[in-house]
Amino acid sequence: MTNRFVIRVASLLVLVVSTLRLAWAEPDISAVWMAFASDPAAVRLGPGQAKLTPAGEALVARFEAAYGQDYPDPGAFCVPQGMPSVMLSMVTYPIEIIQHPKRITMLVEMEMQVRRIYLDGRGHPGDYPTTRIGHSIGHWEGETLVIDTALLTGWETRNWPHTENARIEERIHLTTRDKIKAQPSPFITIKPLDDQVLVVELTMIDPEIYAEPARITMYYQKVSDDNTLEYDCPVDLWLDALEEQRK
Amino acid sequence: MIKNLRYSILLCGLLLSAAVFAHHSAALYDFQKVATTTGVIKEIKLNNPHLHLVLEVTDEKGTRNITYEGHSRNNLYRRGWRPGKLNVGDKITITYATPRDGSDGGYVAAITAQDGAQF
Repeated sequence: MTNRFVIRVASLLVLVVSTLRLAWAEPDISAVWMAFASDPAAVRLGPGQAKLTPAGEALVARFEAAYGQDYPDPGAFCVPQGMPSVMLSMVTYPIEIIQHPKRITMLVEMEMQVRRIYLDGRGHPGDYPTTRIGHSIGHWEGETLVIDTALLTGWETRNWPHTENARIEERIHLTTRDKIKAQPSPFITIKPLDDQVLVVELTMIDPEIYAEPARITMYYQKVSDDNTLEYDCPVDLWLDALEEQRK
Repeated sequence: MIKNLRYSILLCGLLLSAAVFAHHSAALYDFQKVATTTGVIKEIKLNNPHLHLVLEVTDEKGTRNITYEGHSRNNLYRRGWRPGKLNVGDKITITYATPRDGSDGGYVAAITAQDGAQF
């Protein structure tokens, strides 16, 4: 009788704990995602869109004085542009998110870039080199994933310029398509797998060159994983260069 | 009808999405001024970041080879292109944004292959 009672209580406890764990679990954002809308609609920071400080205007003006406003686009040369560019692509390049309790990995098809977002409580290292993708740490605030990216290599073009001291904050959560007011891009004709939408609210914080933080919200739809490919772009450029030198 | 509708959607996408092409070539091409032409493939490289296409075109200026660029291989794949679908010698129709300087060529955004497939 006592044993039966103990087993019943134990079973009940297991059930309650499991239910609570499910209720407390972070949302599962593992999937292949493709941006289909943004707010504002233009993902590039055009002239006059971002409020730059005099130092910021001077930084961009120096670049444009040297190379003009129609400078060669790094994307045409397969240059991985890092953050925030990788999150702002509206030309059907997918991002695969792999989620673990202590790490989220984002596999970005465009220029085959990888983001590692550490969720284990570590901070940004003090002796780490800057890179275009930066160093990202994150944590969950309820059902919102908050990511802080630092240690970015400086970028001088008018398209999201930043210094090495820039920070990029992202607040990421799931919602459904019917709640999105932003106009979907007509270029995105791939059908989503369901009505889930991943919302990425991105803020660039770099007081040295931005008079106020620059913000954009991206909306991603879930697509089939057979949409992912290797982006073997540098190989093609190399083959073209080889061909030009053929004897 | 469905084909035409689909093509219209592609064209509409081309017309409305200059901003998305800004990634590469907005400075060179006028995405509000699109054209359609038919020709024979003389050379094709389905590359990333861009398609490279040489088409033999005959128009009022005569017959000549014109070089175009266009969407990346990966994006064409996602729009329905598959290996073997575009070959040298194929007669295809392209819809493209025209160069701002009025020269030949353009940025190809939609293709109708010899077998009628559109991507």
